[in-house]
Amino acid sequence: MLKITNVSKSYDKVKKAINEINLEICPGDIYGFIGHNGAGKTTLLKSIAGILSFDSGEITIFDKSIVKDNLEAKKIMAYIPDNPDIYEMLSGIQYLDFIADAYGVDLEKRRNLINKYAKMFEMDLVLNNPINSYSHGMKQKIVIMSALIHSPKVMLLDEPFVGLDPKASYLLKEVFHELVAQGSLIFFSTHVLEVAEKLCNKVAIIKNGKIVANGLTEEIVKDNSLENIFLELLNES
Amino acid sequence: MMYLKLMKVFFKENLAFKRILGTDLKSSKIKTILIILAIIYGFGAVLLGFGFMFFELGKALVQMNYLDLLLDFVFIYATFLSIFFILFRANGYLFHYKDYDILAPLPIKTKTVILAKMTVMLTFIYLSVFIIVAPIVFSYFYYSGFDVIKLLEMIVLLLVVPLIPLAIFSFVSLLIANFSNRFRIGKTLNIILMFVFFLGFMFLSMSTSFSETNPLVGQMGLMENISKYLITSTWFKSAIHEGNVWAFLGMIGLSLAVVTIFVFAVEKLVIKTNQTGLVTRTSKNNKQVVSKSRNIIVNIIAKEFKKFFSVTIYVFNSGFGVIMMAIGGIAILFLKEDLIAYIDVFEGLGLSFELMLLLIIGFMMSTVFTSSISLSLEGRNFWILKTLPIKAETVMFGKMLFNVILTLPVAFFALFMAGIALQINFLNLLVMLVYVATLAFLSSILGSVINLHFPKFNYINETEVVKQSLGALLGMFSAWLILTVNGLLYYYLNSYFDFALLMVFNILINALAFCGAFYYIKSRAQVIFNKL
Repeated sequence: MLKITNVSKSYDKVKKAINEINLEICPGDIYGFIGHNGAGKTTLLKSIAGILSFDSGEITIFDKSIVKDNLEAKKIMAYIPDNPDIYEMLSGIQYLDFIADAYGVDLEKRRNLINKYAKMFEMDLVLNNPINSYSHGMKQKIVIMSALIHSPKVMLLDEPFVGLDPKASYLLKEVFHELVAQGSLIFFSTHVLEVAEKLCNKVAIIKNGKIVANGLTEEIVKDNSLENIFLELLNES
Repeated sequence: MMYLKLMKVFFKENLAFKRILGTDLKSSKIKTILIILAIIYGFGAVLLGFGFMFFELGKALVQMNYLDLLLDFVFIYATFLSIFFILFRANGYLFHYKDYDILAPLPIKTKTVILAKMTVMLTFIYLSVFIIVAPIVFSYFYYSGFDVIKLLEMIVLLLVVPLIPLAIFSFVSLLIANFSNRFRIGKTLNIILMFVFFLGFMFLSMSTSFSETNPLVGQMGLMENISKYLITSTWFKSAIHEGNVWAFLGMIGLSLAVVTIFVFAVEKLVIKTNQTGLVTRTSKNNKQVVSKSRNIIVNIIAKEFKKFFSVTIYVFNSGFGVIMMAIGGIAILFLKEDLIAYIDVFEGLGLSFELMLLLIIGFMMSTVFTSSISLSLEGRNFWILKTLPIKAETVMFGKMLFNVILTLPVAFFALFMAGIALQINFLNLLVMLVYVATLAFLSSILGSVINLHFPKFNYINETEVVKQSLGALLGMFSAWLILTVNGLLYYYLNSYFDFALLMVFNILINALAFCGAFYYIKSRAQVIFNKL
C-alpha cells in the first residue's frame, strides 16, 4: 500500500505547495490525481518518488518509508515524469539496461520484458538507435518501458498520456490493468478527465495544495460527470 | 557495481563524439576531415607554441641550476586549470545536475552518484591538464634526463592535484551560481569578478615580462612565490625532483583524505541543492507591462545581447578580446614608450608597427566569434526560430550583426587611441579603420556560414558550445585565415606598394569575400535551415 500521511511541503516557507495531504492507495487501485495547473500534483508525485523532500508528514510504500528507508522503497517503485528528458546519447537499449541494472533485474527477466514491451509499443526496431533520434512519443515509450522493466509494485506517473499516440495510450491502459491484476498499484496525474473517469477506480482532486475530494470514482461522480464535479470544486471559494 | 555502470552512462552521455563536436562523424567525410585537421591544429598549436617557450625556459633554468622550478609550473598550471574548470562546471556537475529527475527515483545511493559525477568532471580536468602540462613535462625530462619512475610518479601526482581544489572550489562554484541566480545584478557581478580574477592573474604573471621575448620568464617569480605557500606544491616538487617517497605518499594521502571528507560532507548539500534547483519561482510585480514593436533584425540583435550577458562562460570566452582591446586602448596612452620599444623589435624584422598593431587587434577580434556559435546556442529553442515567419538569412544576418556590434566599436576605439598615441598618419589610420571594419564584417559572416554547417543543438551546458564545439574552433580559425591571407598579400607586395595602398587591396579582398559569403547565406541559408 502507498500511504501518504499529513504530508506538507512549501518551497518558499510562505505558501504550501501541498498541505496536509492524506491518501491511501491500495494494491489493485488505479488512482487518478486531478488538479489545476500549479495545484501541487507534480510536487506530491515527486515527493512520493523521493525526488523532492517534504517538510512534514510521512510517505510509506508497502511499509517502507521514502525518507528513512528510501533505497528499499525505491526498489519497488517506478516513476514516469511528465517530460521524457533522458540520456540522449545512449541508445534505447542502453538506457533500458542502465535502468534494469539500477533495479538489479536479472538478464533473463529483463530480456523477456524488453521483448514484450518493445513489441507492444512498436519500439523493437529502434532500440539500437540513439535516443536523440527518437520523437517525443518514442522517448515517452522508452521511459514507460524502463519503468516496467522491474515489474514495480507502485507506479507513479505524471501526465503519462501526453505525447502518446492513441494506440500507445490504449496499450498503456492495458498495461495498467495487467499490473493491477498482479497486485501493483498505480497513481497518476492527468488533465484528461474522461480518461480518469473511465480508467480509475479511485480519484483524488487537489486544489491549491489541498485534497478537496477523494474516494471511489463512482461515488464522487454519482450521476454527474467528473468534469462538472472538478469545475464545481474549482469554482468553490 | 553501480558506480561503474553510472560512469559508463555518464561517459557515453558526456564524451560521445556527437555531444562533444555536435556532429556525427559517420555522417560526412568532409566534416570528419575538418574535425581531424582542427584537432591536429589545436593540439599542434598548444604543444609547439607552449613547447618552444618551455624548452627555452628549461635551457635557461639549467644554466641557473634551477630546473626544478619547471615542476612549480607543472603544479601551478595544473592547479589553476583545475580551479578554472571547477569554478565553471562543479555547480552543474554536482549541485544542480540536469539528470537529477532521472536518478533520484532510482535505488542508487547519492554518494555513488556524487562519486561518478566527480569522476566524469575529473576526467575532463585531466584531459586539459595533461595537454597543457605536456610541453613543460617534456622540457623538464629533456633537461633532467628521462626517468620512467619519475614520469609515473608525476602522472600519479597529477591525478591527485585537482582533488583538493575540487573539494574547495566546488563550494565557490555553488556560491557563485546561487549569487547569480538570486540577485538581478548577480550575473553581471559574477562576470566582472571572473574578468578581474583572470586579468589580475595575467597582469601579475606578465607584469615583469613586458620587455622579455619569452613571457614565461616573467612568471618565474610568481610561480616560486605561490609554490612557497602551498605545502602540496613543495611535496610535488620534492617527490619528483628529489625522489622523496614520503612527500609522494603525503600528497596522495592528503588529497584522498580531503576528497573523501568532501564526498561524505557534501552528500546532504547535493540532495538539497538539486531539489531546490528544480523549483521555479515566479515573482509578481505591479510594474506596468509595455509592449514594443521593433524591426526583426533589431529584435534578433537584442535577443543575442540578452543571451550573451546571461551566460557567464559566453561573455568570458567571446568577450575577452573585446575587454582586452578596451583595456589596451586606454593602456596605450600610459604605456606608449614600452609599446614603441616592443614594436621596434619587430620593425627590426621588417614589420611596420601599423602592421603589428593590426595583427594584435586582428588577433583580439578573432577571439570574438559569437556568430559561429550563436545558432548552436539556440539549442532546444531552435524550433522557435524555425517556426516563425522569418527568413533564415534574416536570422543569420542578425546574428552576424551582433558580432560586428560587439567587436567593431571597441576595435575602432583601440585603433584610434593607438593612432593618437603612436602618431600614425591620417591616411594610414583611415585605411586601418576601414580594414578593421572589413575584418569584423567578414569574420562575422564567415562565422554565420560555419555555424549553419556545424550547429550543435544538443548540449547539457553552454560551455560545451562555447568552448568545445567545432563551430567555436572553426570560427576562430576563419579569422586567422583572413589575417593570414591579408598578411601574405602584404608580405609579397610590400616592396612594390606603400602600406595604405596594400591595405586598400586587402580591404577590397575582404569586401569581395564578404559579398560572396553574403550571397551564399542569402541563397543557401533557408535550404540548410530546413534540414536542421
